[in-house]
Amino acid sequence: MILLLFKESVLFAWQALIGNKLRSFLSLLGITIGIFAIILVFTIVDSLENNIRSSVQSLGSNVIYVQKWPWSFGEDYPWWKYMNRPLPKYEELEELQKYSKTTEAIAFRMGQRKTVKHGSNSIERVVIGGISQDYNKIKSFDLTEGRYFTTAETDAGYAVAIIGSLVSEGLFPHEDPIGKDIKINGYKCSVIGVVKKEGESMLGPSMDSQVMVPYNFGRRFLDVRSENADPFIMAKAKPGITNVEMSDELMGIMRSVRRLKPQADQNFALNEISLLSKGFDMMFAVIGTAGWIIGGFSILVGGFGIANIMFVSVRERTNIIGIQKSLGAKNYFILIQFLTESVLLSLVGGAIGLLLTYLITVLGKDAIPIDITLSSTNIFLGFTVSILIGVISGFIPAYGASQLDPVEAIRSN
Amino acid sequence: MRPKVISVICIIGFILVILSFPQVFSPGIKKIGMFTPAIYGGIIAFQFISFVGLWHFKQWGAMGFAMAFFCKIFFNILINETGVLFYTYICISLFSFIFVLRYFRQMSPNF
Repeated sequence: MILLLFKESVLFAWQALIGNKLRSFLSLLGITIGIFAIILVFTIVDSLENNIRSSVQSLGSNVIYVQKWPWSFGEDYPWWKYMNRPLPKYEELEELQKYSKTTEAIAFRMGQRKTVKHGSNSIERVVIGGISQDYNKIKSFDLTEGRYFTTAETDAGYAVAIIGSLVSEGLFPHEDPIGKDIKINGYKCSVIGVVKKEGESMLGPSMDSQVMVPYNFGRRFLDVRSENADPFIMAKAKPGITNVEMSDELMGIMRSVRRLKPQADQNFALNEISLLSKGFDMMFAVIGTAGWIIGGFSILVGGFGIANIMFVSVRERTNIIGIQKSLGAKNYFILIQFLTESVLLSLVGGAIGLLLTYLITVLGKDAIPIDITLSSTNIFLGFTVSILIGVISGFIPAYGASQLDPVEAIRSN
Repeated sequence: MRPKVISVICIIGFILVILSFPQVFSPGIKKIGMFTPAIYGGIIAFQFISFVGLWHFKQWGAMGFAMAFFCKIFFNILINETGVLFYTYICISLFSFIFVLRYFRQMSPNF
């Protein structure tokens, strides 16, 4: 009975929508634009957020970075205080490794852009990372081919390299790179591994377009005293050790290594991933809220458009309502009939909005390097909002129609 | 004939429902779970329908108003949204209840 009633209501509603194509199209345009705006903003924000979160996750949440400059998102950033700080050194890594009890692994890394060649193929401005042995214990990445550096290779500074997937594709388009030689700044080294493709990263250059070499080899052509090389030490906490405990210990060791007096200000920064996460949380909250306000009010305006058209629809079909009621149609049948029409109108508008969003994400794939995907949560949200706006904007006209007196309704023109 | 106080309650209710509608897809609500916006939206729509009933001076409107009030309170507690606005909402709703209950017998029991 209910299904029959629903089917009949849908048929009535569909006929009404088809009967007035232009009017239906114009009235659902508001909802289409509203759903399109809000779901597109949510899709972009969600995709960016996922990308940054996965990038942050690959850096590790229990990792502390010893650097010259602190990470900050605040307005007050006294950069002049940090200008004269010394850069972290490889020797400091050795001291930290010697005295630290709370860390599972400590590594050093620096990087500069250089040209990499193999035969006639060359790639310019590739990030060459000079790393210490335990780097792979802190930064998570997988190798598709080959192996990681051995302790002997890093300690003695062997001329070996691990290359990113894009570097591999660029230098070795039709051959296996393992065991082949590449030239970095004129220095020949042998490829021993290829990093698995990880896609674009929002936090600096992705591993795909990098080459990693042992620090003791890299120092031959990388300028270790250059600020551009951004040298830093990264430390990962042992299981059960909090970042605060590790940070306190690292601070103590670094102060003694740099011979800082108790009253002296720190001349290094201890940066944590949580600082980045908090900064990004703030940023995404602002973007999300802006999208929500813009989209929310455009949907609301679309809802008013549907309500308006429903009032017109009821007025136009008043005598039909009168005939239906005189033939025995109940109030709830009339109510459901008009409510279905407004929900259907809104749903079609929402579906077109979602389709437009999907098309934008598909077309944007080539233009934007980040993977933007319309998630099932956002599709569900789009349809939910469409149904709700249909119910809210259609209820008053539908209820008004259901309350009409059949005699007066038949008499109306 | 609808008393003026009920009209005032309904007008305030309509405005509040319309203004709280964009909250359905607010990042805060969305973050809690996939179905949270749908549930919250359902409550908002139900509240709106109740106000329509109340505007037409129907008993089902008053009953819906009470049910939507409890649903909203339960939902807000569930998602831990109990700020100043929440308590203001409770106070205004309880104040409105006094008048709704006062006129309840005079309302039409029909749909």
